[in-house]
Amino acid sequence: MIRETDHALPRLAAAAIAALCLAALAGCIPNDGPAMRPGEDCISCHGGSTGTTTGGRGGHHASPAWSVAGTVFQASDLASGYEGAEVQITDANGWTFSMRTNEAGNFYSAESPTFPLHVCINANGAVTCQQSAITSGQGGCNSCHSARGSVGAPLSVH
Amino acid sequence: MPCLAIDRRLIGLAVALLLAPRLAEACVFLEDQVADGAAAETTTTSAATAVAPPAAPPAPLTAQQLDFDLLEKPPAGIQVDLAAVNRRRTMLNVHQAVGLGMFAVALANTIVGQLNYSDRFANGPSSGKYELTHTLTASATLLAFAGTGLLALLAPTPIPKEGSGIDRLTVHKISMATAAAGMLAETVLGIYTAKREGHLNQPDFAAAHLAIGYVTFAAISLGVGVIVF
Ligand code: HEC
Ligand code: HEC
Repeated sequence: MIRETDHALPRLAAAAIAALCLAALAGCIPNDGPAMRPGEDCISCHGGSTGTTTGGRGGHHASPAWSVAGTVFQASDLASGYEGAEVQITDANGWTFSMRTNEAGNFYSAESPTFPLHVCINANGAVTCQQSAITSGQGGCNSCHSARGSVGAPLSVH
Repeated sequence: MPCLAIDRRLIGLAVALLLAPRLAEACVFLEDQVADGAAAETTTTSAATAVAPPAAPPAPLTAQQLDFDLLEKPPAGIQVDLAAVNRRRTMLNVHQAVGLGMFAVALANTIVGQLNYSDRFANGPSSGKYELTHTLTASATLLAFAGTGLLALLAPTPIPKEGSGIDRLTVHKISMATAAAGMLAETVLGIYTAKREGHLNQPDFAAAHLAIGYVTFAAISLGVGVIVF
């Protein structure tokens, strides 16, 4: 019986080292993930029923539906996303939740708030809010907040 | 580093690559077994003749022939299916090789799983850069765990186990049964957590998945350790 387990310990050590190496070289940022296409109109693809299944991967993956999504940039450098801003949503029923922007400045939610919404952005304690309400179908913030959109500039904070 | 157009076929390839060295190792084991098995076969014939009364006096057993511990001094009159004994030996040796490989992949999976959790939910950047790797290592762990578990469960038991009580093998079995339950829970919970993308309660599911993951890996470690040390 003992004979069989004689080689087990060195093998186990080798296996553990191999595992650590594998873990060390892990990691690549997906094309279609949380940091994708900052500044673009997310909802044009992530619109649920109207959501397309196109993307960077041959078009057979469905993109999940977001109710609200967009990107916050740095006011000093409109090419760089602002990480760590809180995008606060208050829905028609008074329900509030917030999303934190990631390193691309992106934020998104799959929750189902009741429109119209009121939105504010809290960046390091400095809060800016949109005066008008966001009505149904307007959850894609970048559709207006971009150089080509009706606002003419992306969402940005200092 | 961006993932350039990663295809599902590449995932399959990577899983195969991860398992290939383990299988190769298992094959080496098999060769050993063929040699061992041949030696055991010789013992078999002598032992069988020894029991049958009208046969000629048995040839004296050499030390080498006796190097087959499961068959040492079988009580006279008990029939042992030697083919089954050999099959059991082979299956359990492959079980051990694949099991050690599974432990390595499970360790990698636990590390990558923690990295993935930290990336996605620890208030820092949320790039998703470990998601694919975690999917790969998790699939490989599950595959290897199921494979090595089946080998052990399906191995024939020609010689009934004597005695009872808590010995190493009992601890091994309890640990691995716990790990199996953990793996099942992790698979369901992991897939569900990924589906909760964009939902406010996703971090809660992720935290549960992380905790059960550590418990599962602890169970695997205990099960492996109790045999190896
Ligand atoms: C051109 C279409 C398109 C645009 C525009 C787009 N996406 Fe995507 N997105 C996709 C596709 C396709 C996927 C992949 C879905 C899959 O593979 O499961 C995806 C995946 C994602 C995922 C990962 C989902 C998961 O379940 O892990 C996130 C998060 C995401 N997108 C956020 C965004 C954000 C935020 C924006 C806007 C800044 C955006 N996307 C703009 C098509 C798009
Ligand atoms: C239909 C176009 C449109 C959409 C969609 C839209 N906005 Fe706006 N947003 C505006 C306009 C116009 C203003 C300026 C007037 C105002 O505040 O009402 C504005 C102002 C803001 C401001 C205040 C900016 C400042 O510097 O004072 C914030 C913050 C903001 N929007 C966030 C958002 C967020 C977050 C979303 C997505 C949930 C969004 N907006 C979607 C049109 C839009």
